[in-house]
Amino acid sequence: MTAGPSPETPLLEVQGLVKHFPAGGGGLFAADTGTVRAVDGVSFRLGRGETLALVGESGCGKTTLARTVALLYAPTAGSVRFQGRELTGLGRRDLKPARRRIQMIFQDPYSSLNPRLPVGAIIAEPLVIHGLGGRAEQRDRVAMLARQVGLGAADMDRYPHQFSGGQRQRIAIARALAVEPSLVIADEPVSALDVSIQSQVLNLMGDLQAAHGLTYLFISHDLAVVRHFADRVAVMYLGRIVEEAPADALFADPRHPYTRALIAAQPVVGRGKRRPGDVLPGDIPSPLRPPPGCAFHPRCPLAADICRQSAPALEAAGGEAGHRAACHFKDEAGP
Amino acid sequence: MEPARESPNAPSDAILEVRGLEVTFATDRGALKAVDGVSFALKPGLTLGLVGESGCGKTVTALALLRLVPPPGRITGGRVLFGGEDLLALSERAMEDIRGKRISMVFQEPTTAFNPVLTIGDQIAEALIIHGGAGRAEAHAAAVGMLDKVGIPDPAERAGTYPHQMSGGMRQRAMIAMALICRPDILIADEPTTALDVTIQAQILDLMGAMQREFGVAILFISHDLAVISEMADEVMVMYAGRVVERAPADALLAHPLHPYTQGLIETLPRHGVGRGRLPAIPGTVPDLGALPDGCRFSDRCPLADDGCRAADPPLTRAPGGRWVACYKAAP
Amino acid sequence: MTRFLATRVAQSVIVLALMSFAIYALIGLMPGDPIDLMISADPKMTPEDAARLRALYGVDKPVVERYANWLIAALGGDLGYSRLYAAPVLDVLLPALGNTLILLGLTLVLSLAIGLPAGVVAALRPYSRTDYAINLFAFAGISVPAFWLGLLLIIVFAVILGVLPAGGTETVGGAGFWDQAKYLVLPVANLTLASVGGHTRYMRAAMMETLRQDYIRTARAKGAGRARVVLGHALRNAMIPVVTIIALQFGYLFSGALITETIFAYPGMGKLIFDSIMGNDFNLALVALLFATLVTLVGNLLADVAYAWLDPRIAYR
Repeated sequence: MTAGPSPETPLLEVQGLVKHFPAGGGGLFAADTGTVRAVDGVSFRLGRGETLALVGESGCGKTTLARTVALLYAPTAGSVRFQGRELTGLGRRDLKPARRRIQMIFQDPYSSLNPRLPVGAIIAEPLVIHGLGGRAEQRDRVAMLARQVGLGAADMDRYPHQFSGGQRQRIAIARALAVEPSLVIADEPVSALDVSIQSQVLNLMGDLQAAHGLTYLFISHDLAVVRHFADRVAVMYLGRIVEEAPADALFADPRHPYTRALIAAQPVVGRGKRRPGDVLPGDIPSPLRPPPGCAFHPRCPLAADICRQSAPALEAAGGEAGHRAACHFKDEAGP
Repeated sequence: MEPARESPNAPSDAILEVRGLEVTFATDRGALKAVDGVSFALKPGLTLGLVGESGCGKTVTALALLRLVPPPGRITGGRVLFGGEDLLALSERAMEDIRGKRISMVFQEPTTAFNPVLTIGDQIAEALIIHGGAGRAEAHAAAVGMLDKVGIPDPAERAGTYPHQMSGGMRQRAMIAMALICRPDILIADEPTTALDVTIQAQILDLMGAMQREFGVAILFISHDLAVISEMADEVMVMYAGRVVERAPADALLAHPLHPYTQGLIETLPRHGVGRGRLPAIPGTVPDLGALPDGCRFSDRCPLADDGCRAADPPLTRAPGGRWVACYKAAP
Repeated sequence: MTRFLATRVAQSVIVLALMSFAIYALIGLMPGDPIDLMISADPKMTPEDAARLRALYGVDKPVVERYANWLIAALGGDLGYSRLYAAPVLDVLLPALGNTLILLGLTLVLSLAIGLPAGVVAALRPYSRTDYAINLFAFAGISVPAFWLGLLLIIVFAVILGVLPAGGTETVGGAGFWDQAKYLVLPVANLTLASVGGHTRYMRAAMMETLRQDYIRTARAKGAGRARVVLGHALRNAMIPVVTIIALQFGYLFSGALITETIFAYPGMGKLIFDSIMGNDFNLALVALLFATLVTLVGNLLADVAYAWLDPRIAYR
C-alpha cells in the first residue's frame, strides 16, 4: 500500500519492551499469585510510512503491546523511542506532544465512541485536548475530516447509536486523524465489521495513509487482511515476537512452526471441503504460567530437549533481509 | 403476504425440508420480517452452509427450526417438515422431545452458553436424562465418554469441573459433546467458531467433520465467514436481508457465483495472489428491515441493477447444475 | 476459604471495638444522665446528693476513662447493670433477644415462602395481568408505613373484631404454646407485610435477568421443559443475588422490628433499644446497640459465604 520503509531514523523504535500485570488481589492477607507476563521482551522498528502488522491469537500480548506503545500503559521495562526521543519515564506534560502524534483506533466500534456526545464533538475532542485552533477552526477541521472519511456535515450533530458499525469506525478514524498524527495504532479495526464493510474501511485506511503519509501499527488476527494490507508482519506468541518478516516473505517462506500452523489453520475459499489433516494440537497456554524455554514447545511438531531448556532468540532467518525468527530449528526446511 | 415463491422440489432423500419460512418481529417501528420466505432442505450426512452478514436472518432461521425464536419474534408462516411432521404445528411438549434428541444446536459463545453453576458433566448428562436415555449414573458415564470422543483430555476429571475453568476451545468441544450425546439426526451450528482463535477454530472444524463422518449427522452450518463455509459445506445458501439469494453446491457457488451479492462477497475477500491495491468493495450498507427498497433488496448496492430490478423482487429460480438464484441479472 | 473467614472474623472484632467506643461516646454526648432522671423522680434531692451520686456511679469522669472501665469489665464478662430494669444487662438482654429472634425468624420464613414464589411467577409471565397484580401487592407492601399498618391491624383485629390480642407476649396467668402463638400473629403479619414486597421484587428482577441468559436458551435447545428450566437452571442462578440481599438485610430487619415491637408492646431487642435510650440507661443501650452491630456484621459475613458457596466462579483466598 505504500512506498515501504524509509532509510532515516525509524519513526518508532521499541527495545526490550516488557509489560507485566500483577495477578490476583493484594491486601493484608492475600498471597502473591503471580504475574501476567503480557508482553515479555519485544523489540522492533517502524519506519515512516510503513505498515507493520502484529498478528497473534488470544494471550499473545498484541493488544497490550499496542496500548503500551500508545502510552496507555507504563512499561514495566524496556524503551520506546518515538521520532528519536525516549518516551518511557517522561512525565505527563512532557508526553503530551508525543501523544498528539500517536493516535489509536480501537476494535469495538460500539464502545469506543462516547454515546453521549454528538459525533462532531467526538471528532473535535482531540483538538480541544491539545488546544488546537479556535472554535470556528475546529469546526471547519471536523467538517473536512468527516468528508475525508465519507461522512456528511449533517452527520456531525447525530449520535453514535444512529450509525452502523462501519460508519462508527469511520468516525473513529476521523477522530484519530484530527490532530495530524504520524503514527496510527489500529487494534483490530475491522474485525467487528461485516465482510462487505471491511474492505471499504481498509480501502479508506489505505487512501488516508497515502494522502497523509501515515505510519500504521496494525493489529489483527486475520492473516488474509494482514497479507493484503501490511508491509511487514510480526507474529506474536505469549508475549514475544516469534517471527518477523516482510509480508510476502512471511507467507512464502515461514520459518517458525507457529507461523506455519497459523497460516495452515486459516480457512481459504476454494480449497473444497476439509479433509482431516495436520491441525495444531493443544490449547494456548496462559500468560500466568508460560511453559519453560520456548513457550511454543508443548504444541510444536519440531520440539526437542533444547526447546524445553532455552528460549530461542529472534535472529535472522530465511533468505530475505529483515526476516527474523525465534526458533532453534528455524533453518530446517518447512513441512 | 405472498405464498412461497419457490417450488421446493426438495430431493426425496431430504431429512429436513423448510418451505417459505417467515419470522416477524414486532417492534416500535412496526412488524419487521427478519426471515421472509426462506426454503431449503437438509440431506442426511451432509452439511448445508448458511452464509450472510448481520441482519440477514440466518440466526433467526436456525432458531426458528427449533422454535426458539425469542419474543418479540414470532414464526408467522411456512412449514418445517421433519420425519413426516410439520414442526411448526407441533405442541410444545412434542417439540421438547425433538430438541436435543433429534435436532440439536450449538451456539456461538461457549462462555455464556453453559450454566455457570452446574458442572460440565451434569449439563452434558442432562441431555440424556431429559430424553429418558439413561438414569443418572449411566448418563454421567455416557457424558464422560462423549467428552473423550470430542478430544478433551482427562474426561472423567473434566466432567466435574465448571465451565469457567475451561478454555474457549474446550468449552466448544463440550458443547458439541452435549449436542451429539443423543445422536441427533440434525446438528445446527450457529457461528460455532467465530469466537475462537484461528488454531482452535481449525481443531473444532476438524472435530465437527469427524463427528459428521462418525454419526452421519446432517449439519446446518451458519457463519458470516465465507472461507469457513467453503471448507465445511457440501452445499451453500446465501442470505441477504431475510431472503435466500443463491443456493448451490459449494464448489460451484464459490468458483462461479451467479448472484451479484455472492460475487461481491467473494471478490471483497483479501486473497492469496491478489495484488496489494484496493479491494473491490460492495458500496453502501445492508438495508434496514424497516426501510427495504422496492423490488430487489440488493438493488441499491448492485452494480447490475436496472429499473426492472428496482420494480419487482426476483424470485428464487432454478439454474443449471442443481442451483438456485434470485436475480434477474444472474450470470449465465 | 479458612484464611478468608479468619480475616473477616478479625475485621469484625475490630469493627465491634471501634463501634463500642463510638456508641459509648455518642450516648455520653446525649443531654442528661441517670442522675438527672433520679433528680426528676425525687425533687427533694439536693445538689450535694446529686454530686455524691455522680461520683459514686462514676458519671463525672471523662469519657475515655469511663469507656476504659466499661471495656475492661466487659472483656471480663461483666456487661454492666441495667438501671431501668434493675438487673444485670445480660439478664435483660437475652430474653429480649430470644423474642426478637422468634419474631424475625417467623417473619423471614413467611416472607420468603410467599415472596420468592410470587417473584418467580411474576417473572415467568412478565407484563401479564398476573404480573401486574403481583407487582401491585409488592409495591403496596413496600410503600405502606409499618407503623400505620400495625395500628390498622390492631384496630381491625383487636378492637373491632376482637379475635387477636393487641400486644404483649402472653396472657397473664395463661400459658401454653397456642396462647403465645396468638400474640405473635399480628406482629409477624405486620413485619411480613412490610418485607414481602421487597423480596418479591428482588426475586422477580433476578429471575427476569437470569431467564435472559444464553444458557437458558441452551437448556431449552436440549429439550428441557419449563419446570426443568426454571428449577434446575434459572433458580440456582437467580438465588445468588437474592440470598446476598437477604443476608445483608439482617441488620436492617433487626432494627426495623423496633417499630413493630413498640406498637405491639412486644418485648424484643428493638423495644429494648428504644426504651433504654429514652430511659438514659447507658449500659443497656450500649450493649443492645452493639448487638445490633454484631448482627449486621454476621449478616454480611453470611452473605459473602453464601455467595461463594452458590457461585463456583467466586473463590476467596
